[in-house]
Amino acid sequence: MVITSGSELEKTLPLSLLGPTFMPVPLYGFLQGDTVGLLILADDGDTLEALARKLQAAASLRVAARDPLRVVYHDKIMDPAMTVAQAGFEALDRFDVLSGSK
Amino acid sequence: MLTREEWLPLARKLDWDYSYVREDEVFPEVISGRPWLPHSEWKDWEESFKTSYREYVDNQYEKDMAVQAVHDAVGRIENVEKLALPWLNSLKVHAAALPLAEFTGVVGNLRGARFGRDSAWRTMATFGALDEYRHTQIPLLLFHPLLRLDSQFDWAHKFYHTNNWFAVAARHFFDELTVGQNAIEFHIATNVVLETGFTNLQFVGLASLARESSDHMFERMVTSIQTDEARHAQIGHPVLATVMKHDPKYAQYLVDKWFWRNWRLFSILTGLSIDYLTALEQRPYSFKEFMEEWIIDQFLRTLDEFGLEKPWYWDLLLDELDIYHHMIYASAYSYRATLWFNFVIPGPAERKWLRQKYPKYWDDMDAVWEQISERWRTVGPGPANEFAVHGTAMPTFCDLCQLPLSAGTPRKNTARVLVHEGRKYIFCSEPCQWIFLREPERYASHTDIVKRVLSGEAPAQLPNLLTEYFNLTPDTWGKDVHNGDYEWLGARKDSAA
Repeated sequence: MVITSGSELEKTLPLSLLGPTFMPVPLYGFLQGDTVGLLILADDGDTLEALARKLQAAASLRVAARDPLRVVYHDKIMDPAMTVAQAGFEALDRFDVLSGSK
Repeated sequence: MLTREEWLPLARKLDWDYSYVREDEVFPEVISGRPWLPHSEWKDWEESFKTSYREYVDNQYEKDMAVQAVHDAVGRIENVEKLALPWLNSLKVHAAALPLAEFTGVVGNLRGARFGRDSAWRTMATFGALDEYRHTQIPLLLFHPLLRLDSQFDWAHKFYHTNNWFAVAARHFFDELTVGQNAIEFHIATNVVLETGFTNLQFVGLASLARESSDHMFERMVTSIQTDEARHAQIGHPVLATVMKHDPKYAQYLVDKWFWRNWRLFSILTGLSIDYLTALEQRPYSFKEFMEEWIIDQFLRTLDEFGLEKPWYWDLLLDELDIYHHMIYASAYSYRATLWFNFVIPGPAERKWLRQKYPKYWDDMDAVWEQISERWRTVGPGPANEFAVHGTAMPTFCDLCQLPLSAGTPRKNTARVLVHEGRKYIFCSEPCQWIFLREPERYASHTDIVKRVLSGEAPAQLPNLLTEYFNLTPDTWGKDVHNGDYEWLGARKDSAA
């Protein structure tokens, strides 16, 4: 049986298949409007905008896409241009994504 | 010949003072439980519902004959085939979760039968163990043959033998509650909290739903089980009364801890059945209404009876009545292939009813169902499209209850990360974190499904996770009951066009 093409799970896991220069950071992502937290495997070079898009895509079955996206980490709204590494994300941290106008 | 009233005290009180061994050698604290007290503090232990062995055997025989008669009359496969599809899937949930969990109750009661601190307690626990063995055998006998009708009923026996995420959560709960527990904590947690409170959800609430759904076999089975529960649940009350007298803070902790742990599991087991897997016209009440009438009010009376306080998380719990099982159901629907039963999307009439019953947060839940429905509209119905309307990213789980991180609301999930002795944990809610921190030595070494995947213990690819780790097959993994073919989905699409 074929799962869906473009599956986030297939794209992001297992870790052993990831390239040597890639520093995967498994994170707990919570998209506003969703009913469950998701495991998101971030690249430490990903911008927070890209990270938010990853979570939005992963939750798209349950949550309609809305812009703009804002990443919240340790109760602060983060600069979307920062990378995961610059923002100081560590493995198994929680981040939230708020979507739509305030 | 002694009268019953003369015989019972003679048969119940059988302890003597030990001369050749110490009492704490016979009843070590680690397995009898704390506070450890000399027998003089337990000798007046008295159950409110007394029975002799002969009465017990006579009553159980009659109850078993009654269940058998109903089974012969309406419990055949052809009867089960006539049940509504959503209810049939509710049966699969309980067929899997119930029998072997009841068997762990045998183990817990046998611990009370050996390490309970008074002979009357031990006698009642012996009957309790026999009860729980009956509660293992009857559902296995009734449900497992149904696999000839539907292979998902194989999970009546298989469930606890798998690493399915829900089985992991259920084992985490029952292993602590019943299998690995000292006698005092077992009887307070199981008899006072679970059986006085939460089994009403299973055995009163579900019996009522079964009657409405014309499932007379299930109704008779759970009603018969409930008569046993009502008797042996009485064991815990005099145990709690003695612990309250000597260590009220510990008694409060045990009640608070186990009420929360029970809430987590039973809100899923029963909440989904009442509010989603029973046909709308057959729902006599909502899950919340039943909780308020049968669990919340009764629990508050129990607290009052013993001089206990409401749990510190009480307001949070009342808030969760409006949302937690809805979050879980929508999440589970979108990961239905990870489970062994089928799901149904609430249609417009169901959503109208849910909005009426759960006005506080339903707007947010409705948006989720609208989005899922829209996916079915886009891809079209049919078995081939099941995985196009299915989650793909890995869902996440609580390090205490092992259930999905689905607490809080869609607007604000209450998951919280904790670093404990250099290791990172995540909990769905403050009470789960609180329980962990009270007894970290008990919980810290357990790994949830996400960490098993990350460590390579469990497969990362969804198909492998389903088949190799969750022990599912294309035949048995969960699907939409109608494969997305709902009349209302098409009608809405047409009207929108």
